[in-house]
Formats: sequence, C-alpha cells, structure tokens
Amino acid sequence: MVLVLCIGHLHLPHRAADLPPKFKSLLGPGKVSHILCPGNLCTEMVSIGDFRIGVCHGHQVVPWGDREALAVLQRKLDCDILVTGHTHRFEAYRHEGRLVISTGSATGAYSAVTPHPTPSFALMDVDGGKATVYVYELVEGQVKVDKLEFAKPQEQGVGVGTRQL
Amino acid sequence: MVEPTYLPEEQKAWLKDASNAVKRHGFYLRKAIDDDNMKEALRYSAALLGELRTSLLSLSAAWFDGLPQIFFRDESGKGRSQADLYDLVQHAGNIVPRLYLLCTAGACYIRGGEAPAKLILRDVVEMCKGVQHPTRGLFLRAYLVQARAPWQAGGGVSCVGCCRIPGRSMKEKAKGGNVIDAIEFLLVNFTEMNKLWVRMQHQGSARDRERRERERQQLADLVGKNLTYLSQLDGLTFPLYKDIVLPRVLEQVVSCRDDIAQQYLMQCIIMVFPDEFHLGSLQSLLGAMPQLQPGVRVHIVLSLLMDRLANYASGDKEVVEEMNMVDAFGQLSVVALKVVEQHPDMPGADVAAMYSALLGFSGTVYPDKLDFVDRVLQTCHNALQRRGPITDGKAEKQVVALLSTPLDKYDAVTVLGLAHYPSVMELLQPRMKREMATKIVQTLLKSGTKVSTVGQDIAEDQQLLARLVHNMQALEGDADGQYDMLVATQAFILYEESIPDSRQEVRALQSIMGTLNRQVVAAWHSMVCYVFGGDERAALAHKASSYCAKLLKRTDQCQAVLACSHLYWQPQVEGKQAVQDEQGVLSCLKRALKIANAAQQQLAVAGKPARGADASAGPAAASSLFVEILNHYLYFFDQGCQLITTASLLELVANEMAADACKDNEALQVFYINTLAHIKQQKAKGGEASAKYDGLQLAAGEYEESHITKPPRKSLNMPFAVGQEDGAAFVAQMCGDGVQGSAEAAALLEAAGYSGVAQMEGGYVGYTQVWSPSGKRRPPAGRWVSTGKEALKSGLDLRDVAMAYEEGGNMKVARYAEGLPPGESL
Amino acid sequence: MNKLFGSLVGSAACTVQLELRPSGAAAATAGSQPTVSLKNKRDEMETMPLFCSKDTISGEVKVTPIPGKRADHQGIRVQLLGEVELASERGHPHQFLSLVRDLAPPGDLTTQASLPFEFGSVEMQYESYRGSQAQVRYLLRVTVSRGMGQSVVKDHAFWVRNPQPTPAAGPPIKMEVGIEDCLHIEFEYERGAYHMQDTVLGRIHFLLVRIKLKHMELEIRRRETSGAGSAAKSESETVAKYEIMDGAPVRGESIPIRLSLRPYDLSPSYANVFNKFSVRYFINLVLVDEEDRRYFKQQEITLYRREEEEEVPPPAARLPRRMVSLPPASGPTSPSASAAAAMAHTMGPASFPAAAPANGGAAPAASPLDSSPLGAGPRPASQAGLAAAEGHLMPSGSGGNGSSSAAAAAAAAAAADAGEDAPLLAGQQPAPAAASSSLGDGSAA
Repeated sequence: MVLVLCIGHLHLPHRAADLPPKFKSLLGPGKVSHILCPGNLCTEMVSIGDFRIGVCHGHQVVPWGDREALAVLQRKLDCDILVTGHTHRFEAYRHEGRLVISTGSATGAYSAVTPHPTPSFALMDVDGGKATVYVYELVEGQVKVDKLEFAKPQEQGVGVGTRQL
Repeated sequence: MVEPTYLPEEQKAWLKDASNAVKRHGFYLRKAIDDDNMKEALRYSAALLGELRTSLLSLSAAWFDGLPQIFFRDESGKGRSQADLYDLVQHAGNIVPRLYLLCTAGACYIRGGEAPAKLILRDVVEMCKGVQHPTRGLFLRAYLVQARAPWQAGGGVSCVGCCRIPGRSMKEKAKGGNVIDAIEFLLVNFTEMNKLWVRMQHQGSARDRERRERERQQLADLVGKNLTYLSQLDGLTFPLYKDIVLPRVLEQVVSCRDDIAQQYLMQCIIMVFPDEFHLGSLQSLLGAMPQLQPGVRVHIVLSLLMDRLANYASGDKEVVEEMNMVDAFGQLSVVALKVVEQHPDMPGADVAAMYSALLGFSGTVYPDKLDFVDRVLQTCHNALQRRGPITDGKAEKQVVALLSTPLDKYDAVTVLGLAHYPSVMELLQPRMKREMATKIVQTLLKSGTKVSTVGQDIAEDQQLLARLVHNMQALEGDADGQYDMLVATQAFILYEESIPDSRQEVRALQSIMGTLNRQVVAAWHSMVCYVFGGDERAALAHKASSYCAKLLKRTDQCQAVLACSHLYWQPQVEGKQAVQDEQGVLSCLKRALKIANAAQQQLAVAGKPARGADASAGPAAASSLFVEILNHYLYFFDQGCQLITTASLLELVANEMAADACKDNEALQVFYINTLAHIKQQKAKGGEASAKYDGLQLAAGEYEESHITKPPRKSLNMPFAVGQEDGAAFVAQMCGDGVQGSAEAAALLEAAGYSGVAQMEGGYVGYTQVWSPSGKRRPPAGRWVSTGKEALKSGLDLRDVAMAYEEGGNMKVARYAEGLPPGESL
Repeated sequence: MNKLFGSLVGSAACTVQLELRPSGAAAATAGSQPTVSLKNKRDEMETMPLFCSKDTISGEVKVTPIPGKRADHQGIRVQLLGEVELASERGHPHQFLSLVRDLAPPGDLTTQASLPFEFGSVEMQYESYRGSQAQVRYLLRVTVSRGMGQSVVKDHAFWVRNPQPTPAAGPPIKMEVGIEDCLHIEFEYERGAYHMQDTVLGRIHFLLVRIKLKHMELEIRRRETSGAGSAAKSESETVAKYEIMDGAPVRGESIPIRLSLRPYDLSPSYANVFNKFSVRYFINLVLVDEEDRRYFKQQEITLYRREEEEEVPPPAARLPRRMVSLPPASGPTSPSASAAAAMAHTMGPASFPAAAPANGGAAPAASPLDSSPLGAGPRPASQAGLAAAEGHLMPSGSGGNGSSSAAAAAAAAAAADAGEDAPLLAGQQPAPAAASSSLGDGSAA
C-alpha cells in the first residue's frame, strides 16, 4: 500500500498567504511516500504500484482542462492515471477506462481559469492494480472528503503493460 | 588546466601513459634507493617529476602523497650531508622537477638541522621564482608550503624547522629562524602565489574566459593555504598580525586588482584569522574595502565580517564593550556608505544584502539601539533611491529580507514606527509591497503582538495595504472584454519583445494559446457572452498562428499550429452560438500536416539513424507528430466538424507507423495503438456518434503492415542531366543501387523506344544524397565551418576541422557519397 | 718458412712494461700517483696517471725477452712526448714537447732488464685535452730499437692538469638587451670567470615582455677554434642545458640563476694551445616563445682550474655551495647609471625587420658582426637610435687569441647554424671598443 499525494502548485507566496491550517494539520510528515505535484514542469512519467502515472501541468493542453484534449495526452503518454493541474479546479473522472485527476489548488489560489477555487488536494492509496482516491476539499471552512475507486483495466487491448521507468 | 584543451578521451589516454611512466620511474627509484645509489635515485625522481610537465594535477597528487618520504628517508643516517643532497638535486636540468626536489630536499635539510632554516627557506622561495607558469607555479609553491607544514604547525615556540631539535643552544635557535622568519616566508610565498593566480586570468584567448575563471576558483584554496598556515603559526601574536601580516596581505590583495582574487582573499582573511584580531585591526581591514575592484561583491565580504563579529559579540559583554570602544558600528556603516558611493553601478540587490547584514550586526550587538536600525535604513534608503525603482526580482527579495531582519530582532511594532522603515518599503513595487505587508502581518500574528496603539505611520501603512488589496481584487474581478483584449495584445507584445530563447518561446506561445482559448471557453462557462467578436477573434487567431511559423523547431511549430486550431473552435453549448470556423480548423490541421511532412524530410536528411527508442530525435519524432495530428482530427471529428474526414489521414499514419524507424519506437507505437483503441471505443458507443465512425471501420481495424504497398515517395523533381537538350524525350531512370538493374532497365526502355534514357549513377540512394526532393543540391559533406582557410585565420582550431575541410566542399566525393568515413553519411 | 716469417715480422722479441714512481706534491700526500678516470671515445672508462707541470716523472722500464730467446737490440730509450692533434690532420700530430732518455746502449738481452728513468721538473705547459676538433696528449714512449722495422714501441699515456691561480674577480657581466617594443631584459652574471666546480649566480630582470615566452634556459657552449687567420675554423657544441624558467613572466619579474658547473664535462678555457687551437666557453641565455622561436644572447666566460679542487666538507653543519642566489638588485639598473659596463643591444628576431639587418642566408659575411664596432656593415637607423648606451665589457680571454673579425664571423655563423630556428638575441661579441652592436636574424640561413 502506497500513499500518493497529488497536490497542485501552491503559488506561495505570490497568490496565497499560506496553506489552509486544516490542510496543514492533515499533511503531517511521514505518511506519504510519493508526492506528485504538477507544477510548472514538463511532462513526466512515474510508475507506482501497477500504474503508469503521467504528471503534466496542463497548460500545454489546449483547450485547458478539456476532457477530450486530455484524453489525447493520456493516449500519448499511455498512462493509466493522468495527474494535471493548472485549472485550479478539482476534477477526478474516468475516461475511456483511464483515470484523470486534476488536483485543483490546495491553497485555493487565484487562477485565470478559476478565479475562486475551492482549496483541494487528492490522496491516492495505491495497492497493486487498485487505487483509491480520496479527495479533500475545504468547503466553508470544513474539510470534506470524497472517495473514488479505480482499478487498472485488465484488458485494454493495448498489449503493452506497465513499463518500469 | 591551462594546458590546451583536449578531448576527454585524449586526456584519459595521456593520463594513462603518464601514470604508467610514473609507475615505471617509481619502481626504478625505489630500486635505486634500496641499492643506495643516490645519483640514480635522483635521476629517476627527476624523470618522474618530469611527468609533471604534462599532466599536472593528478600526478602532483601522487608526488604529494608519498614520494618525499621514500625519497629522502634516513639520508643523514647514511653519512651523507643534507647540504650535498641539496646541491645534488639542483643538477637536474628541467626546472619543474628540480624545484620539487629542491623543496623536498630543503625540507629534509631543515629537519636535519644542518643549516639555519631561514636561509634555506629564503633560498627555496626565491628559486621557485623560476616557475612562472601559473598553474605549475601554484602547485609547486603549494607543495613548498605543504612540505614544510607538518613541523611548522606543530612546531613549538618558534615554529621553524630546526628549533625543534632538542638540545640546541639559544644562539643557534636565533640563527635558525623564528616566527618572524616563518611569517616572512609565508608572506613572500603568498604574494608570489597570488601573482601567479591572478596571471592565470590573462592567459589564453578571451573565449575561454569562463572556463579559466572556473579553474581559478578551483585553485583558490592553494593560495588561501598560505593564509591558513599564517593563522596557525604558534607565535603569531596580535601585534605581529597587525603590524606585519595584515598590512602585507592587504597590500597584495589590493594591488593585484583582480576581482576573483580579491573576493576570495578578503573572505579568506576574515575566515582564517581569529575574531579578536579582526576587531583589533578593524580599521585597516575596512580601509581596504573601498579600494577593491568594482567587480568585487564587497557586500558579501562585509556581510561575512559583520556576521563573524556579531557572532563573536553575542553573549559576551566584554567584547561588546570593546566594540563600543572602537566604534565598530560606526566604522562598518562608514565603509558600507563608502562602498555604495564608490560603486554607483552596484546592483540594488547587493546594496540591500549588505545593509541587511549590517542590520543583523547591530541587531545582535546592540539589541537595544533602535536608532542604529533607523540610521541603517536611512542610508540604505538613500543608496537605493539613487538607483531608481526596484524592479528586478533579486533586488526585491533582498529588500524584503532587509526589511524582515529587524522584525525578527526587535519588537515589530517599534520597528514599524521607525522613521525610515516605510520609506524603504516605499521603494518596492506595489506587488512586493503587498508581499512585505503580508510578511509584517504574519510576524505580528506569529508574535501575537496586539496592536493596541496605532500610530500615525501604521495607520498609513495599513491604508496602503488595504488599498493594495483592493487593487488586487479589482484586478482579479475585472472580466471586461476590452480588458481581455488588452491583455491579449500585451501578451503578444511581450512575446515579440522579450522572450529570450526558443524554449521559452514555445512555452510562452503555449500559454498564450491556452489563455486565448480559455477566454473563449471561460466566457462560455460564465454564460456572459462571447468575449471576442468574430473579427477580433480571427485577428488574434491569425496573429497566434503566424507566431507558430516562427518557432525554431518544426516539431514545436507543428504542435503550436495544432493548439492554434482550437482557437477556431468553440464547443457547442446549448443556447449559445458557438464560433466554429471549420475552415480555420481544417487549414490549421492541414498546415500541421504539412509541417510534419517537412519535419520528417528534414529529419530523414539530417538525422543519423535513430538511436534506440529516442522519440525526440530522428524520423520517429516526426511520425509522432502524425499520430498527434490524427488525434486532433479525431477530436474535431468527435466534435462534429463536418469538413473533417480522417480516413485518408489514417491511411497515411498507418503507413508511417510501418516505417522501420517507427516500428522500433515503443512509445510511439503505444500512442498509435491507444489512438486506434479510442476509435474502437467511439465506434462501440453506438448511436449517432458511432455511426460517424462507420466510414472509418476499415481504416481503423485493417490497415496492417502487409497491406501497405504505397512507397514513401513516388516521384521527385529532377534537374536535367548535363548534355540533354531541352524538350528531348527522355526518361531519367534509376533503381536501388544504380548498377545492374539500372542498366537492364535502361536497355529495356531504349528497346521500348524511349530516347535519351539517362541512368542515374549511384541509383536512388546516390541521387538523393546529392539532390534534395525539391531538386536543390544538398550541402556538401564534411564538418566544415566556413572555409578551412577562414577557420584557420580566425584562430579556430577545433581539432581536425580545418584539416578535414577541402575547398569547394569536396563535391566529387560527396556526389556519390563515396569516400566518407565509416559510419558517416551526408 | 713459417718460423722464418715469424721471427721476421712476428711478435716482438720482448715485452715492455713501465712503472711510474709517485712524484709531485699530490703524490706526496696521497702516497701513490693520483690517477684520473675518463671516458674514451668508445665510451669505456680509462684510468691514467695524473701529473701537473713541473712534476718530475720518473719510473722504471722493464724489458723482458721472450723466455728462452735472446733479444738483441740497437738501444733502448724512453721519450716524453707532448702532442697536439687536430681532427682535420688526423695522424699528423704536432709535437710541442719531446724529451729523451737513453736507457741502454745496443746489445743483447737474455734476462729481464730494469731500467730506471727520470724526467726532472718537466715543463708541461698545456693541459691534456680531448675535444672534438683537437686534442692534447702526453705520453711516455719506450722504444727498443731493432733493425728491419722490428723495433718494439710501447706508449704509456698520462694526463696533465695545471691548476691556475684564481684570476681577478672582475666586474659582473651585466647587459641590457631586447627587441624594440617586444622584449627587454637585463641580465647579470656575478662574474666572468669561474672555476670548474663553481656555481654561476645571476639574475634576469624582465623590463618589458610583450611576447609569450614558454621557457628560458642557460646553455654552456664550448667553441673550439683551430687554425688561424683566414683558415680559422670554429665549431661549437652545447655541453650543458639548464632550464631556469618555465612559463611566461610579466614585466618586473626577476628570475634567479644558479647553475652548478660541477656535473658537466668541462675544461678550462684555453686561449692558445701551441698556436694550433683555442677553447672558449660561453653562457648562452635562450628564451623560447610559444611559437618555438628562440631568442638568445651569448656571453663568454672564462673557466679555470682551481688550485685546490677537492674541498673537504667540514664535519658539522655547513651551507651548501653558494646557496643564496644573487640577491635581487634594488631595481634593474639603467644603462647610463650602471657603473659596470653595460651595453644596450637590440635583438632582432626574424619577424622584426626593423631590427634585423637585411642579411641573406647566403652571405654569412653580412651576419651580425657587420654591425660590430668596425662598422663594416649597414645598420638600420632604428637600431642606432635604440642602441643608447655604450660599454666595453671585455671578459678575460676574449682578446687574447684570434679575435680577428674573420674568426669571429665564422664563430657567429656557426652559432647561427646551431640555432636553426634562432632569431638572435642581441650582440654577439663583447667588443673592445666602445660601441653598441646589434644582431640580425640567424634563421634566414
């Protein structure tokens, strides 16, 4: 079992004062083994458990946040899970048998796409070919947790399995 | 080193040779020593040291490591006079080995106590002048100091050599040398080494400047060692330091007029000598600062000094007393001011950094003297103001740090009440002011200070803060179309004027596309209206796509054009009329296709055979573009763009994927397979969407390798062969290798009645190596720069370049691609 | 027949041995005749008895007939010969010394005869010498005369060395030389005369450096001149090379010189050996730049043989020989201010035509000496302007023999040949008359 934190660009201190204190207490050290942060980086691939996970900031994908456009990227990277950011709008959905997580912004920082985002991040519990995504959102001062389960599709018709990077 | 630059492999080979030679000489050396054959021993050690002439660094390490020990062990025990040895080593003809031997023999000589140490020291240090080559000289002199170091550092009262020999009379001791002689020796050596070190800078061409500076930084330690040893001399008292050591060292530092040396040495002085020495000689030390070169970052030196003094003073009242006595703060501020005045072009960041160190100093030493803080802020303000508004990021950061320093040391509210605190803050750009304000608030919150009495100044600050925040909100909330247009225009202007390199260009363009598109989409989300009317949108899209063409790399161009296609397409939404310019989209996609084609050809021409599965280079990269384009076609296809027909494209892509270079590229194949899988899924959905895909059925499923029959290129533009008359009916004819088959085909053609059949020598392969598909002659082979002669004239001596070049590009050889070195193609 | 032939031509009828009796001052202390070991031309070590002038050479000749045979002879004598032989006249030595002692009148020998001899206080003016062009040798020749060309002749070589009194120290050799606007140095050797175990001390001051130097070395060059007048022929060889600087100095640097003469195979300078040849020594200062151009300046030094050659080291601590190098001058002396005679010269490398007389390689006569004091050749105006100071440096030994212009010209030409890639440094020959000289380009040859 591996805990993977997916957290967006914090934009500290330019656009936000600090992480919300409630989040801060949640994110104590020592629990999380991987942190995926789609900051202003280029596109990266990692393997966690049986999953190929693509991390991409997302500003490269036009139109921003567009599901179909992201699907193209996902096909290109051949990743089971795509973690993106940039929109500061949390989203997690399945698309054509793959999972897409838009991390949103943990600080709730202003973004051109989403002027007043809800602070959010995602924690992924990866266990072999299964992943449970816990979504943490700060709604009216309260931490709200949602859960989403995702299993690696056995037969994608792809023929290329996980590749150790 | 300062030797000419060699390729790494060459250097390796050299080093190997040299170290083999060292081993060999070392063996004979040991043998000679075992046989007690001194002359031979010297001969071999000189030969060994002769290797130093070639590869200095690694070998001198070997010499440092153990040789001297085996070399002169027990010489006096064999009844040989050290003086004779000292003489004997000087017979070596080459100077570098000779002087290494001399240093070693000198050390033994002193250790043996046969002669006054100071005479020998003076002699050796003087003889070392013979090595004027900077690097070799530096290493030699470093060895000289080091050879003497062990007994010098641990050396009882008067440190130098013979003084440790027990039972010597006082008189002999006096003759042998005392701490003054040791100081003299180290000072002379220091001066000489520094001169050599500085001189390194002026050797070789200006092109290598950076490399030289790097090398110099690496050698700094050698020079600094002298100072370290000076500071470790047992007999070094403060008066000696103040009257002899410091003035001489500073004189050398100042007079060498070299940025790197001054920077390093000043820091070195501050680091190696004890705090109390610095405090006692503050005036001389500070006196040197304004005399340093303009390029020296004095603030770092000063900061270091102030930090040390602050550390020294912390918790020790007597020291603080002493500092008051010499008016340390006053002296430091005066120097800071002088430095600022003397270097009017010193960057704001450095000014701020220096002053924040001064603030740190006064904060530690004088925790209760707020007026000092205010004074520092005032002078800093004056200095910064003259430099104009603070705009660059580094300076901003430093000013914020400067303003934060007193917040940590003093009561924040009191600090804010200082007369000059706001004035320094005023220098910041509004954005940074906000940040600073946040910081102040955070400090206040952290310390839990209750702001009970709000002074006039703070009220003003807060107003400022409030205004600023207001400003920001206004900025964010404004979604006026005109404003957006303005932003877009500004973005383009910025893009044109100030994006420095091509990588950033790519990124910037991506962002612009995204923003433009977002403004289209975001507006749709918020149900307001479409921000841009048709004309504006078209103008912007056009502008954006024109930038795409200017990107450096074809692959970047292609991707940018693909992104651009989305500017013509707004997703359909209920109740809204989306702008969906199908023509625009299609033209973008077609352009992308064109670029990809060109990229592929370019790569096929320029690229070596793709290595492994590197998708970023070679033909595979271009093919990946095709798949990407296919995906965009599919995107718009899904979106219901009527003009899109993907069938032909699918065929093309399938062809591409079957090419050899692409077959090996796993990532690319996976991308393609995933895309096919997507089509399958779309088809499987059923309903209207899937019906669209029916036409694609064949294409998606059944294009397999075996069906691919279309050759990559069917025809080429071809220039008329020489001697052919215009209008003559002829067929230029070629085949794979241009030999047998070609001749047969030509015969057949002629038999069939064609006139003027021309065989292409070298066949298709040979032809394409000389002519490009557009009928232009390809550039000739060779790694030539301009012309060989010009390359030589310009002093460009890349290895073998000029030699490899032949005037005129060696067309003859290039013509049929013969005679190229193995592994190279045009 | 065989026997007859054997007795006619065959091996000598007797064997001859020669034993020397120790003599002279050195022998008195050592108890036996001192010897000297030398390498001969075949690179073998050869040991010979050593004498000096005015020594008495005495000993015994033993003539032993072949056992059982009677040896008749027409007299036995021993000769003491001193010969000069030039390489150009091999096999025809010139004898400058020939003394004879008759040891036995004609007669028969049946048993071994011991025949003592003595040459009292022999004046042996010239030292033994083996050079490439000439040699001086001494030998004792025992002749057992017999008719019909069957005389038995046996030579016993010995070696002669003549220590000299230390010459007057004289002024140091100081000179300022340079190439206009390129390189300007002042060098200084402590004196002009050195004994053969001596150490040369000196300094080089760099007054102006605008070329990139790679290294600097001292050479000791030996010049043997044979013949005289127009037939004079000189040959130079470099007997020592000693690097004194590595890398490029900047102006103001001052490089110490300390060169021990001990390890090298040197002889004293010989001004004039039996009017046949002379041997002179030069210190050649060579600067090599990064393009391997060589700039040099040659100075004659006098070598002499000191009385007491072997110094006995004191048992306790002592300083090495001449340890501290010539102390740095307070500053390079300006030519005019210098009390010692300093000469300003110009150096002319090939690439500086202004400083180089237009001498073609085919005309050695137009070589450096043309601008010598005699003023036989043209001198570019720029040099005349630069050649500011005057001096009359005259190391001992330079004036004594054959410093006729022809000999010197030949010498200069030889020097130019030796330094093939050699733009010359400055003046060649210290001149007796006050003048300045400038040298041209040796590389054109």
